Amino acid sequence: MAASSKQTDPNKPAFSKRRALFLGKDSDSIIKTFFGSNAMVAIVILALITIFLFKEGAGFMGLYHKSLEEYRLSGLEYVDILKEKREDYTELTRYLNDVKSDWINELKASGSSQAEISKAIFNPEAKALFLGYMRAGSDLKKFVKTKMDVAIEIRDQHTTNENLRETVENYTQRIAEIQSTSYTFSKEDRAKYTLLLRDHSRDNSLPSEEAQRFLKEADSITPEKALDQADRETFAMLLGLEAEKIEATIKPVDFNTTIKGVIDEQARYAEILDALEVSLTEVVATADAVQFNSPAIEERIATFKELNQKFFSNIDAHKAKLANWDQSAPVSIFQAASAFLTGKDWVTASDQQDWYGLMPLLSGSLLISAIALVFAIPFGVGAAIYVNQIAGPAERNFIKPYVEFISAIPSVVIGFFGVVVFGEFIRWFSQLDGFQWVPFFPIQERLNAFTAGCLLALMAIPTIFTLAEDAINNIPRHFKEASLAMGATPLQTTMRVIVPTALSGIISAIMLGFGRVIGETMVVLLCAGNRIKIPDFTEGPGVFFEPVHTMTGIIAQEMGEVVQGSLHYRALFMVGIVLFFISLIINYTAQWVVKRFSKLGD
Amino acid sequence: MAQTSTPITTSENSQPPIIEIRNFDFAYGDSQALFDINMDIKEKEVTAFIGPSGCGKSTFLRCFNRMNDLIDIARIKGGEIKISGVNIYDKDIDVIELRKHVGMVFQKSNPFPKSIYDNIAYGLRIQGVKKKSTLDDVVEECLRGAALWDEVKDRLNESALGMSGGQQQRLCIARALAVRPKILLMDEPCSALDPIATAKVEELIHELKKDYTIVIVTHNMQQAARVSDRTAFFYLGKLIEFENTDDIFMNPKNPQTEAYISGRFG
Ligand SMILES: Nc1ncnc2c1ncn2[C@@H]1O[C@H](COP(=O)(O)OP(=O)(O)OP(=O)(O)O)[C@@H](O)[C@H]1O
Ligand SMILES: [Mg+2]
Repeated sequence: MAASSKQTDPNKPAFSKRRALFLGKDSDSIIKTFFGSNAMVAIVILALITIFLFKEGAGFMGLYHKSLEEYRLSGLEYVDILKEKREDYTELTRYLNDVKSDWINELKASGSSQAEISKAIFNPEAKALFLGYMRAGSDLKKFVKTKMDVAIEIRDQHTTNENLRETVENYTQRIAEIQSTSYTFSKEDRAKYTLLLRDHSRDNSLPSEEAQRFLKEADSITPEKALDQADRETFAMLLGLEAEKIEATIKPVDFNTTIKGVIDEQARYAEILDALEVSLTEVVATADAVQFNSPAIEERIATFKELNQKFFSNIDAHKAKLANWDQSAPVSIFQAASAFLTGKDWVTASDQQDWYGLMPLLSGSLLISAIALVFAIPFGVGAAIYVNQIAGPAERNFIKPYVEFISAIPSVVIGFFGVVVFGEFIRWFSQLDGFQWVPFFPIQERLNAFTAGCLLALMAIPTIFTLAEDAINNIPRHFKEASLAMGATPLQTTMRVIVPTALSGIISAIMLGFGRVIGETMVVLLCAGNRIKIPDFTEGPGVFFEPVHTMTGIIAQEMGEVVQGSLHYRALFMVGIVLFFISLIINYTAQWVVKRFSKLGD
Repeated sequence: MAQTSTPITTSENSQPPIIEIRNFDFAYGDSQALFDINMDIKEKEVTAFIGPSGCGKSTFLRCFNRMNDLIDIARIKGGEIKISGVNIYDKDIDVIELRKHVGMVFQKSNPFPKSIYDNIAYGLRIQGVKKKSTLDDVVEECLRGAALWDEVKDRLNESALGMSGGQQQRLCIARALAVRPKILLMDEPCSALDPIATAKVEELIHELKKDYTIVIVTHNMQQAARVSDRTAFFYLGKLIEFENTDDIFMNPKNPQTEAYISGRFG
């Protein structure tokens, strides 16, 4: 049609009218619209994801703040301080038991018979030490337990009350709905109404003709019967009665009075501690009389004595801490934020207090990423340099697709391999006799940060390799020629010209590899060991072999079982937000590096 | 082809040639690019290669420092190139040393994305020279040699990529001088430069002639006439004529040469 119109007007030149293909648009603007709308969709979806993430995470701070407030008001915080001393004592008991089993092992190793061992262990002095130490703390344990129970009960009652209040609130809303004129009885409401009428008719306080009336009314209700204004009134009245009944079960908790049950008996607690000190000193003294006949064990006993001394000397500080504890001290929202961001515990579904601390997850994620990058960077970048600069065409054609193929392996398969093959192998390796000089061998857990890190390295290598190879490939050929023409060796050319010039690209490849690693879920879930605890960095290199949990892993693991809208649910979203920001920063840094340092002239 | 035809040479000075090319055949894979070239290039002279696009000038030039080794399919099919009497395609030739001896400047200026100073010092550093004072001296000497010193002496530590195109090309020449070559190969060094920058480079070539043997490829007939002592005309991979520059431009012997020079060329 466009063509014919052109011909009909021979006076106008050919460019006087654009050719329209569809809805009055020419091909250029159709293409533009198509790609433009695609880009738009991508942006909108990204925005929706972000909004969703923030919307779900948003309530977290408020809820967590409230939870921490209750933790303080109910006295659970006080109990946790009490528990510190008990934990210290339990720790010492454990240490002593360790010494005992070491001692037994040593006796066995020296060729003592079972009878001899029993004699040594159960001689009166040894018994007084080992058993006596364990028994000395029973008062302390009992005391702490009682206080803990009191606090837990207060907290539980408070939580129950809150739930009941919410229910009553729901009733009130419902009643308001029913009273409005626009309301019609639904099928469920009919059933509920009938039920309430029957129940009410059985109420003994009612005059019998009243009760009869209710019963008749109940019987008269059929699915077809029209229900009028009076029915609505009755229904609302009955629901109101029910709500009142529920409200009556609320036993209000006054934290100011209930706290007394937790923090009283401080004098008695002091007495218990004093008595403990006396009896422990006595018990520990008996150690001198025990014949260990082993310098190693005696040394450990000496350490044990020192630890005990420390335990006693800390008691005053402990008492002061208890005395200074203040139930009415306000909990600020910043405290809630820092309890999340810097919190060292992630404890859920606890009967006392749930903790949502990011640190164990963040440190686990970072530790695994660090391990992964330590392996992936040299392999990925090295392979990229090799393939691009050194390898011949045959090698290149073999290595490149092969490395890139790795990224096509589903992560669950890699994780599976990690659990079944690699983890086993590492443990077997660490148990070989020839390697026992390595300080942290043999390792305890087959699934640990190292296992996960190695497998993640495998996943990061293709990313780093491909991007770094691209970066090197983009270096104009004439840089290489200029260098070689001056008598530089190929190696010098690579190290002094190619790599420095491609550095920004290589760094951004590494950053994106890091992004890949920190966002990976399946492998860490399967192979990292999933222990929620900050890795013990004081252990030196042994820290790499500790099981850890990760931010991605925890979301995948716990999201399925949380109640929507609960504190726990929101906490997982907060972890997601942190992850989101980390990825954002990584990507931004990668782009910034490229922009900042890649001013290649041509 | 095996018979040694007498080299085309312009022989009035008697000193031995620094580059001797004998019966040289060269191919990229199956397609032969150079056919039976014979030529003598004299020391401390400027030799210009001219000829239509695709006739093999760059290919030939890159044979002198064996840059063609980088191309997988490149093959020497016969003949030899001797520099100072040594066949550079011998088995036990050290290519690295050869390239220090025969420097090269490319068509496209290609300074490294480093500072001006580091660009010049590069050639020495790869030879293991670390002493700052030596490097300083050489950098100054080379920049003076390339007539660039006065323009850049205050910004030696700035990126070389911030220089103008002409300055960059002279920097590349200075960089090539830093390894103290005997021979300097230039492949269309002025093709991307404006007339003023071109004039500067030509002036520089004139200066460098005192100390270096220069082989230059150019498409610019006037340039060849201005800077070179001798000119070689190539056509379809063959050396057609090689004469004193004056002779070739005033009085070409070969009709093809004449056609090319006078611009009557298809
Ligand atoms: N790397 C290569 N691989 C295969 N063939 C090549 C290669 N480089 C050049 N050739 C071929 O060799 C022939 C000579 O090319 P060369 O670059 O030497 O020409 P030239 O005279 O320098 O041309 P110009 O004046 O355009 O630079 C051409 O036919 C070209 O197609
Ligand atoms: Mg060329």
